[in-house]
Amino acid sequence: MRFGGVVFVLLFSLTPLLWALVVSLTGTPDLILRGKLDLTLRNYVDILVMEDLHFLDYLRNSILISSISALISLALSVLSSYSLTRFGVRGSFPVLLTVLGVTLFPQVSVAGFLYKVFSALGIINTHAALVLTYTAWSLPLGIWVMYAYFSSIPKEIDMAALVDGAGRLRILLQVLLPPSVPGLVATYILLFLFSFNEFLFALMFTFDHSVRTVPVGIALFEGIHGQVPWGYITAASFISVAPVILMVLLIQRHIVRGLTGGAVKG
Amino acid sequence: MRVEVRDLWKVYRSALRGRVEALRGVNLVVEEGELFVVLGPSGCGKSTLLNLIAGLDTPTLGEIHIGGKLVASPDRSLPPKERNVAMVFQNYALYPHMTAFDNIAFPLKVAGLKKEEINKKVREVAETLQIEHLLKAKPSELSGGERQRVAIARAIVRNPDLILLDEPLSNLDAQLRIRMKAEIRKIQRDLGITAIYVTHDQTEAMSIADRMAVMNEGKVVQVGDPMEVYRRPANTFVATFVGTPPMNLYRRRVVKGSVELFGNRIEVDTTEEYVYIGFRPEEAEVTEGNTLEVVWVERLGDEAVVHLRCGEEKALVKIHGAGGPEVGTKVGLLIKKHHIFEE
Repeated sequence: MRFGGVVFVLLFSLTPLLWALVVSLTGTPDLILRGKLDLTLRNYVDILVMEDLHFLDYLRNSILISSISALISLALSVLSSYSLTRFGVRGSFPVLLTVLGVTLFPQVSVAGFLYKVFSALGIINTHAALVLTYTAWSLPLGIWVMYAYFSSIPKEIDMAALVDGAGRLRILLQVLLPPSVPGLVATYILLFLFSFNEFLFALMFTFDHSVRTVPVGIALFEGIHGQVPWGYITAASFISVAPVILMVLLIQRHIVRGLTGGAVKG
Repeated sequence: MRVEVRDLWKVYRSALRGRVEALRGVNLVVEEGELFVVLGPSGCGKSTLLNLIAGLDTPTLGEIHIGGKLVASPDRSLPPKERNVAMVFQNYALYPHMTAFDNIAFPLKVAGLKKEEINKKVREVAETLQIEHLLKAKPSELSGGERQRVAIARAIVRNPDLILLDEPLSNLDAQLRIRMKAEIRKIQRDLGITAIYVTHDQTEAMSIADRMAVMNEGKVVQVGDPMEVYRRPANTFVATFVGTPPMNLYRRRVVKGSVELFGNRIEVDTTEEYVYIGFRPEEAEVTEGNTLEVVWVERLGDEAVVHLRCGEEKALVKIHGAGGPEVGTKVGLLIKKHHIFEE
């Protein structure tokens, strides 16, 4: 009974993944019909080597666009959260609510307008279009997470640094950010995933493999005879999860709380 | 450095409480080299006062002068670093990712000192505070008392003109508090540095202060040396706030130039119809009689506090020695010294 719930949740959420894994590893997607399973890595090899599938282009674009926009978004989030939590800005809470409110707009409501703007700027089908959009669209998330993080660092630490003669920028860089590294890393991953998984904007603002990102690229895979190439789709999905998992594994030791311990009596 | 605070006001708006007058016309003079305590209950504005002196906030009205130099007024407020003031916080406020050494060195690095010089100064101050062996530790590896020493070292390492201590002992346990108190006092004397020490603990204030100011509701209600404040409290607030157990205080009607209190007739020189009359627990004696009932005898080692009751009114009286009245018996009270406050 104790594990019943866990088992149910695991089955519920993992079954589609397992199914996809099986499909990606067989050469015959209609394995149910044929009733036999011929295991092969052909799908994986194909999408990595067949140049007209452009999967590696998509992956490169995705990583490039996501990492840059997450970086810009994080930098802006840090600056705005710093001022919102430390400078006693009047009405900082309404500002936060407005920021939150902006995220409630459906993407569709701004996509058309953004398309016009980017056309006018001549940056449709460039990395810049997506970096700009993702930075803006993920900023509220970044601000909220960093706001919560900075709020948890006692203000007395800033006050002590001010009295010690430090300027605001030095306080941010040398006093607040170093103990915030776990928070920064966690926020960066969130922002990265946010852009990495985005579909609609990427679909609208990109035309070809030079800019197109993984989610759109995969969705637009075409089979030879017009059928849906499930083998390629699932194999590509698993490969594109890899960098994300790798990233989390590499920096997971940073994502631990408690680095701020000992600053003040808790 | 001599500190002068002139008619200082701080008014701010809070989302929950609306308009808050944290300071309402504070005037103070802290003489060079003295340890000046600001005593008051929480919310009386004492921390706001300290922040204004440090330059962490700007006054709404009034002026602050440090060493004869105007450092804060509503139009002109020097940033903290131009005031050469140091501060010690209740929660220590050490930089969590830095070692004790780096914490102490931080103000020197900010000031742009050379590495050898920083090294020398940090070692010196660490020796003064007996924390040489802790310099490599991070704050999380230090005990409360050790953290407070590092915080004090960080404050005095750059020879500030003035040191501000905001409830520096409140987070320490009782034993350590007594030791640190003596140490802070000694360091302050040895360095001859002017110090402003904020606390809500009146025993701490009494024992450490050269002079003290008692604050309440954003105002300074009394300034003086501790014994003066204790012996001649300026009003009923100071009377009940300073001293443990607190002063017994009662409202009485003046009849023919005197009032009656638990069988004692006390002459008062006033034109008011009602006065407040008080006596400290050590200013009265339990005698034979049947005016008051003994509710509890609170033993404190060689002395005790006798809790008495007369109808709705209560009285605390200190007695010495092991004896004392029985709980439940009736006693009388001899008031040897009293304080009168007009309404």
